[in-house]
Amino acid sequence: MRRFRLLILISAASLAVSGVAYGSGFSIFEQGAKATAMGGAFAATADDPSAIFYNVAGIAQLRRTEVSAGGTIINFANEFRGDPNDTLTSGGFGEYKHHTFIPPNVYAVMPIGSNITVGVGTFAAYGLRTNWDDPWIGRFISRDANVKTVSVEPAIAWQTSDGRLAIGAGAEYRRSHIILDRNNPAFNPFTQRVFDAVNAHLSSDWDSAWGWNVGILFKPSPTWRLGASYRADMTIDYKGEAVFTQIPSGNAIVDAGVKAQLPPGQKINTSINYPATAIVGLAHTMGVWDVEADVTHTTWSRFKELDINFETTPALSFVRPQNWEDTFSYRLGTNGRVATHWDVRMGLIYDENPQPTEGVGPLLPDSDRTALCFGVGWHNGPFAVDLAEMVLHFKRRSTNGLSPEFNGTYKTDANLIGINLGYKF
Amino acid sequence: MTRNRSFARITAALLFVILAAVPLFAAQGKADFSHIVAIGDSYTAGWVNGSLNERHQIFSPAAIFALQTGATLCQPTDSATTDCFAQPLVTWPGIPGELQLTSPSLTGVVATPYNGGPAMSGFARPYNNMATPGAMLYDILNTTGAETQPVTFTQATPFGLVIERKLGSQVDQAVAQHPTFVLAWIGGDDFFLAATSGSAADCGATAPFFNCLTPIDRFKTQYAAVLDKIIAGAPQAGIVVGDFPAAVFTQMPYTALIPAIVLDTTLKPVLNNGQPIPLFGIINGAPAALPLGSTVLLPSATKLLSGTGIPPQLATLPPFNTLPNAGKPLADADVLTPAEQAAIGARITAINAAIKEIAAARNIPVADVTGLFNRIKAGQVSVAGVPITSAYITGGAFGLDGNHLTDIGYTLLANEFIKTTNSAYGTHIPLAPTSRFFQNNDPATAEAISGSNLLTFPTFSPDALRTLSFFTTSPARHFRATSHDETKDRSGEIETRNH
Repeated sequence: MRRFRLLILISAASLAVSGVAYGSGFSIFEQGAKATAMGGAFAATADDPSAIFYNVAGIAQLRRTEVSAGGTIINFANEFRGDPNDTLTSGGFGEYKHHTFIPPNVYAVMPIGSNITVGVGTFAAYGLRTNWDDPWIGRFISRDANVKTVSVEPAIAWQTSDGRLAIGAGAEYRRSHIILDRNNPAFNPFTQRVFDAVNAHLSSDWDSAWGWNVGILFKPSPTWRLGASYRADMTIDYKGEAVFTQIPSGNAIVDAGVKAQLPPGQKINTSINYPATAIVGLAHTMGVWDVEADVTHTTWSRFKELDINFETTPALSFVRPQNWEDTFSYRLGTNGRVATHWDVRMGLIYDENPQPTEGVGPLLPDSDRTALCFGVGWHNGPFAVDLAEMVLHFKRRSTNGLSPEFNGTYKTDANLIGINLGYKF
Repeated sequence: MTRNRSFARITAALLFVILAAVPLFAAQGKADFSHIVAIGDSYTAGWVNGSLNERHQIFSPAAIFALQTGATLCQPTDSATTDCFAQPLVTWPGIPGELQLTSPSLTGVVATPYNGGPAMSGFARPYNNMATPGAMLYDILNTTGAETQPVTFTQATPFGLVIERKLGSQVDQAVAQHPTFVLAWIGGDDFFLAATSGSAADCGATAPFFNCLTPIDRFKTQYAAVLDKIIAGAPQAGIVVGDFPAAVFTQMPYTALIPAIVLDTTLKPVLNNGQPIPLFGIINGAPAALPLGSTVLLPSATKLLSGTGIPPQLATLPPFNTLPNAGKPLADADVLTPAEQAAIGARITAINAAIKEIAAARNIPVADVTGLFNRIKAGQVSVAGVPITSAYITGGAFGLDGNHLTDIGYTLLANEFIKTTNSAYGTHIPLAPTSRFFQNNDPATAEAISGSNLLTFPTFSPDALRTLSFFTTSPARHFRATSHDETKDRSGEIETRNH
């Protein structure tokens, strides 16, 4: 007679990968080893082919055909410690699986006539991977988040015959791919434990958009240089697929209950508003030393919400407010031509994070960063080799008890090694 | 000079303020958790799914509290000199045999048809956790396990012999241990045993005191007597007590699940002219239609299955005429009427006022258990996004007996005591994580945990370690289906199944 309907409570919302999105951490400003060694303070220098990224006007200075290819080897060390006042995370610990990321960059420039240079570059200006190592108590919020981008940018720049003023422009074609993965929990009345019911894996196609950028470089005197560049914001509309995989609980009745509610794999769509970046830099030459200071402004406030739509089961769709804020970063760099074939470089960075405290979570625990950079350059005839080392420290970031779901403190450090090989024809 | 003098004056004034303030803070002090003792009833003992057993005692609120302060739990093999938090561990399936879910229905809740036994009966010192199922304040002050003529529920159970072991009452054994901190959530069974027996009658002036409400004056005297004994015997010990949810019978499946109206097979009310049809039961000694708002106690659900409580006027009509007991009244003890609920609620409210007054007079903080139960009822509690509600079987807060908590529920309860302790004593005990109760059935998680992560848990006895298999592997539990009608396992019938 009185049969109880066994309802394994998997709320519709919990099946979706909700969770916060990415961070300032997902912009990558290291797109050339010389610039990286100078802390990214390069907009007023922009004297190698990576100027296509930092300040496109700079390529007008390059009066020979040049190619440069390299990459930045990024390694993260991070840890999460649960908040002793959070009844879920207290005592909890987590860290990322070890991944080495190598966003590549390749640039080629070619002068045309005496005032114009054209070029093409490819780089990865945005990217993120937060892939938590098992066992991970935050897997019900995010187990793996992976954002990849790759850009191709044809560029052109023109300078006055005396070389004191240059302007440039580029068109950026950016492709991007996102993966979000997490498990969805439910209560198992047989074990009276919270079990992993379903894995939700959201994966986008490679989707793309076009953007543009402009730059200006002005040399009022032989020892002073002023540079500014602007890379426009972009919105990429993503299409993708959600796959829901049931995770066996060990109990046939429970598993049947989950199976009955398992949504079908389906098409999803979302869009991400990428920010605009404006850079202003001032450089001064004192003997063999060049010193440059830059300020970068990024319009992260465009990232107001993450909105993922499920096409077959609209009830799974969700909008998640992010409410990021615009950020500034401050960069100081120096390059010393200390020997015939050798340059030495140093840089300092302070980079603000855009993420409000309540949004800090396993998907992206962002934080203000400071970095110390070193590097050397070797050039001989047509050859150039640049090496950079960046030690990046993220300020310890606590949710201060403000997270609605997962409180704790994140501690991140990163090490970046940049390498570029150049050849002048 | 003038400036210097006024500076000196200000400094002096500040110093005075600071010195005057010191005693206030000192009164709060830092608590010493080197020897924690708990007294109380089935909740503090870690009673889950109608049973006291080791698999759940390791998650008793007292054990969780102790663990979070850094204590380790005693294993059955530990000796009295081991520095550990001792509990009267009972081997699985416990006393009585633990209720288990065999199928997702009310009749799928069955008791394991055999008992466990005490695993530490020879432990040569009093247990740190003296909490004894069914203990009223009277028992905490008096019951030693030596009683031959039981005058309380607890005395009619084997738990006096298992826990007090004739070594003294709960409070006497607590004091004898020279505790540095005492967890004393006491007084619950001074109303709970009545409420779960369908009664709101006051206890008489003299023993016996079975399934009755302790009169408020006696409650106050006994409550104060327990605290004063602790204070006299362990003057330096920190103490924390707790209140009781006045609406508890609307929050526990045991008393809230089944309305006393005619239900169809899907538990929907059968309507007559749009009105629900009241069940039929004994009120004030005579059969009558039960007033709307009455609830049938969970163990009496089996009576409903055979038709008991179906009003006589329906008993001859199909489909009720196929039920053998249709037309027979429910017993008074099967039902909690609105009048009884109101009387019990009023008594709990009075008890809470008494607890606050008595505790405040002794500078003892009171944990907000009411708040926790209200939040559970209101759907404001979750574990990793999974709502933990007061729903029966599937809710997660209450166990299969319907009137005690699950391991998750006890963890939340322990955290209320931790919060109150931290706030009152200026301590920083970390909350107990509910992530302990992830089943971790995802293969990647299970593989990562296997072996090493057990180290993050205290050492447990072998049987309790089996429980931890929940943390390490996908469980393959095999339930013994039984025709033995054990859904009637309610606290009042423990002794009948204890051999």
